[in-house]
Amino acid sequence: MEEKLKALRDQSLPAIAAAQDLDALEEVRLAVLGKKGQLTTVLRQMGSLPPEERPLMGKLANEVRDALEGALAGRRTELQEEEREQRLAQERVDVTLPGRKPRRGTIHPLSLVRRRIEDVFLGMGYSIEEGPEIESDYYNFVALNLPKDHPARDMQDTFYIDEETVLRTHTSPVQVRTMQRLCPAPLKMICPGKVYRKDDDATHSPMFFQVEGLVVDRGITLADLKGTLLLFARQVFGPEQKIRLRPSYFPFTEPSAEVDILCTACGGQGCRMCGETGWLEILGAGMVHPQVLRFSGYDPDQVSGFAFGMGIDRVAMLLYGITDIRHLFQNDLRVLKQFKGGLC
Amino acid sequence: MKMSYKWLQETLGLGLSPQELADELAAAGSQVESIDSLAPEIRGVVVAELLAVQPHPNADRLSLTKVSDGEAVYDVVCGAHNIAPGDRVPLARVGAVLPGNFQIKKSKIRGEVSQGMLCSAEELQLGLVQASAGILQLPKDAPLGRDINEYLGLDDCILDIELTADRGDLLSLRGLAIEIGALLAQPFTLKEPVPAPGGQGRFPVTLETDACTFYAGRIIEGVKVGPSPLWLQLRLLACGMRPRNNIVDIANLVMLEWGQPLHTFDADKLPRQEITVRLARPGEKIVTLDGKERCLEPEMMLITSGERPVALAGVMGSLDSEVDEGTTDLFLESALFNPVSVRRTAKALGLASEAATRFEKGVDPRGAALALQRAADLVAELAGGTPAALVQVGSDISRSRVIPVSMERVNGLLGTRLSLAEGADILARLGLAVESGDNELLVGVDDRRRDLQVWQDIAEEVGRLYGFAKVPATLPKGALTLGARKYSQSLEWQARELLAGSGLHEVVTYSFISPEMAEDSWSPPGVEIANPLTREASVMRGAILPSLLAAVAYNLSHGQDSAAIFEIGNIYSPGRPLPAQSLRAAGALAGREPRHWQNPGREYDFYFLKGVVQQFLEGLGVEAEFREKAGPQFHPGRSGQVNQGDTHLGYLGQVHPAITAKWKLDDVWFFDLDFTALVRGARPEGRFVPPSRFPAVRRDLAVECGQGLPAGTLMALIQEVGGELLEDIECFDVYSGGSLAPGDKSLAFALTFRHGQRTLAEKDVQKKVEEIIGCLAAAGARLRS
Repeated sequence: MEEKLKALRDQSLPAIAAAQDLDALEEVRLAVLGKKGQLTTVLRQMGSLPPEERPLMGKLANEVRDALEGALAGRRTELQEEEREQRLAQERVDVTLPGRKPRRGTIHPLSLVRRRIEDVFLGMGYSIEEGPEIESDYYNFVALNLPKDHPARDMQDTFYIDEETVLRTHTSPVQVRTMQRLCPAPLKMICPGKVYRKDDDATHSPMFFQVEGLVVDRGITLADLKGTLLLFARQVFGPEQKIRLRPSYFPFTEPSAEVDILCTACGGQGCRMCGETGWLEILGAGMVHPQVLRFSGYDPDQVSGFAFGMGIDRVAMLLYGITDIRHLFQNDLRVLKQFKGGLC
Repeated sequence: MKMSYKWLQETLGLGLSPQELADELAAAGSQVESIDSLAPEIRGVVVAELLAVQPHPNADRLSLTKVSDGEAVYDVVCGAHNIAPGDRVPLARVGAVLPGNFQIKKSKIRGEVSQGMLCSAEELQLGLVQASAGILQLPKDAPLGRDINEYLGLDDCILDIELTADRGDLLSLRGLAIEIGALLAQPFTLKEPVPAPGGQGRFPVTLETDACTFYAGRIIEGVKVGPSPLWLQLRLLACGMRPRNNIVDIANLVMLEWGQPLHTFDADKLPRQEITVRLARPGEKIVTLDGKERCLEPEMMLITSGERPVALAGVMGSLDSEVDEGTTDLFLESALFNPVSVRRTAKALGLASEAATRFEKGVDPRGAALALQRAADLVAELAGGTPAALVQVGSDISRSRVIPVSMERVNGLLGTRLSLAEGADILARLGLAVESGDNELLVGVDDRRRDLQVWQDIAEEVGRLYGFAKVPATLPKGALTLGARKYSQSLEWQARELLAGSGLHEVVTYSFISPEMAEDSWSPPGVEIANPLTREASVMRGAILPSLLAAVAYNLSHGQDSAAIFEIGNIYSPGRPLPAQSLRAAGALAGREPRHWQNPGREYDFYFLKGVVQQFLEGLGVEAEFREKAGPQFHPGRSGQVNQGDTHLGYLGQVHPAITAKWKLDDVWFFDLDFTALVRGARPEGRFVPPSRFPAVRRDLAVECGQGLPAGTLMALIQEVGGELLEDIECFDVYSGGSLAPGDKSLAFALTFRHGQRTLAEKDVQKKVEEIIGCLAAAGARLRS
């Protein structure tokens, strides 16, 4: 019996090692260790042994079984690894084929730029205010120091609904409404939104987007306006930006200024885009006219304020290099799909 | 405003180049839009004298001339007839270049040598008016051999200056010279003529309206009307005006000089020897100088004579009282008209004139009498004639005021640290009367500077001349404030991100549409614009559907096979006191999902649309129900409404095919939600529910029912019966046809049961499922075997 067990071990170990796949290995296992396998057959003879030999033989039988099972497990692992290697060698993708992208649309460039501008001023503690696009003549003009027959009304060609109702020509009426609501508290606000003027060419759209800002408090100065706009210009147009204030005229501010930034195309060297001046006009601004403060309930002897306004469209055109404003309102998907990202 | 560079330079004795001058003006607030040369390029043309003129032997219409430039004598063949020995004319010698790069060469004309060319005004392209056609006649004292550019002053530039609306005072040489003088610290005053004493001569003037506060006039008898001298013509040209005749040119020159518009009448053409200024009467008409007949409105101010309108006051004269070649007696007018009246008249008639532009912005009252005197002097000098006594009514007194200005306040507004003396110096340079007090300046201003009314106006002048560039850049120093979006504003951005995240592209369409667009979309017309640019953009939209249909149609006709778009924007409806606006979130889908090599891309359909809307609402935390029945703009069977409890949120579905047919579109899937209602119903933040520790039990149920029974009804029923134990229902299969009876469908639901506090027993689940099956059967949905 001892010989039989040893012979079984010595025959089976090479057979296990020779198994070429998992099926063949299983065949060997069944043949050797299965219920009807060779080991079982040998062990059946155990009963015919003298009792004193049985423990010794039992021990040997266990050793043989352990050896065979160990060899089987080792070979199985080997074969499994081989099979995985083979499978991996066959499984391939073409990494250059397009992926199945989850669907994603785009946000309009005007919205992207508007958010960017909003975020600059939110960061400086401004609130965002809104108001009606169809406005009364009073809020759009009169309360802004533009009575009827004021020559400066010609500066903004206006759409009328009736004698007393207009499509707002700027978002300034929101400033007036907010001042009236919050007076006499100090305020810091911007008001973005759609505005309307009777103009239609490559740089003017009859509907466009403006964002205006207003700060009213004690001791607000033109220098504060300058510092605020410089910060804005650097945040939106780049850290090297400079601004230039040129005296101008708006009925609702005094003093008034047009504000230029360094040309975004040439960086101030002078080019065709900036008419060789190195500067691009992007905003109108000034110190709130005492009459406007008074109209809204503030005492111009106690507080002062600055206000500014810019076309979001104009900023978008400069940032993205769009030369015709109509591209912003045509809603051509070939254009819209270009704006996949957008800096928040 | 166009102004001659040389005129300014001569007046001020400047040493600045045109560009330097433009930069100075720009820094002070008057942008120079363009700097154009007065004349085209002319080289090698000099003043010459005709020595002899003989007929050309071989050509009837040509002559042979001998001309001298003071150094040499040239033979020149000439085709003009207005020449005689002794004339001084422009000679283009061989090698000269005339406008248009026309080079003068030595030539033979019909056998005769020509060593140059005598030039006409046309050939020099100067726009000059001449008494007779042909060679340009120069004054007899023109120095021989002098370059024509130099002699005529053709090296001048036209500065096109963009003035701000408040600076009417800069619409003249005088105003600009004062401004530039102030900038350069070279204060300037224009030499004033001595006005003749006023009176009420034989030409009575009556003011019947207070819109004319002052009227002065002068008859000048025996004038000779003809072309102006060349210097005057060239000066006008350099200010962008066309010369006409000496009288009109003088009036224009004086207007440019003083900023006071003048008008000239042929005194003999006035119906009576009197002038009345009054408002128009109903039905009155006038033919203005431009030859157009104008119907007058009662509030328009007129100059009349013998009851007949002879001018629109301050705007334009009548054709039948115009000065022309035959005029001998002149009536020269200088008056002060109310700016608003002139502005209304000019606007109502669509008539812009140099005079109206100046009156609208307000002229300096002091200039009226001075300009009249200056013009009378010039007429006497250049056109002969004898000025008669001055007629003058009303008052030309300039309202003067004193504005106290504290430098502390000025510095407080500008953020500067200027001293009282610095402020006083700047203001004095502007020609303002400044008195220094202890802590403030008393600034005397009159109506030459109507823009200066309050101390802030003075502060602007100080800041402007000090230089905005020198103002420091600081930040406001007030209390810290919270910078944050309001809830609705945050949600609006969230909405954009959600819809873009579902594959839709944001569009921004015009708020105005055409009435046809509204009609073709069966949508309310919104709010009409009284003065639209075009009919295509004449109503503020009452719905967003027309705008999105237009955007879809645009893209499908520009190379796209599909469009998936959304817009968050306002719609408008009539209302009191203001029309109302309401914010919508809407989207449209046409065509198919984007194709992929593994997936051909399904056509958009109702369930795709609903998926987008569901995803959107879930992202905003709006729990909504979908029900049948949408508005008339939708396909009746493929549309529905979205509600949250009792609140109607909007519609979704296929746009009615009769509408899309009008837009030449196939199926368009559209949703339109009330954004304000969404904001009210949104709960975007969510709440924490701990995940259960106990296992779930899943059961699938397949039922058959009629097509008309909505899945949602069955699911609501299942949920009701399932109660708290039923954690989730999913409809995972919908099927019709095959072995099913016609008109029937099969629905398969996956039910997930779970108990919060213990493991569910199999028999509990079985009991619930049987209960559900029973209720479904009662509702008409049989369990499939």
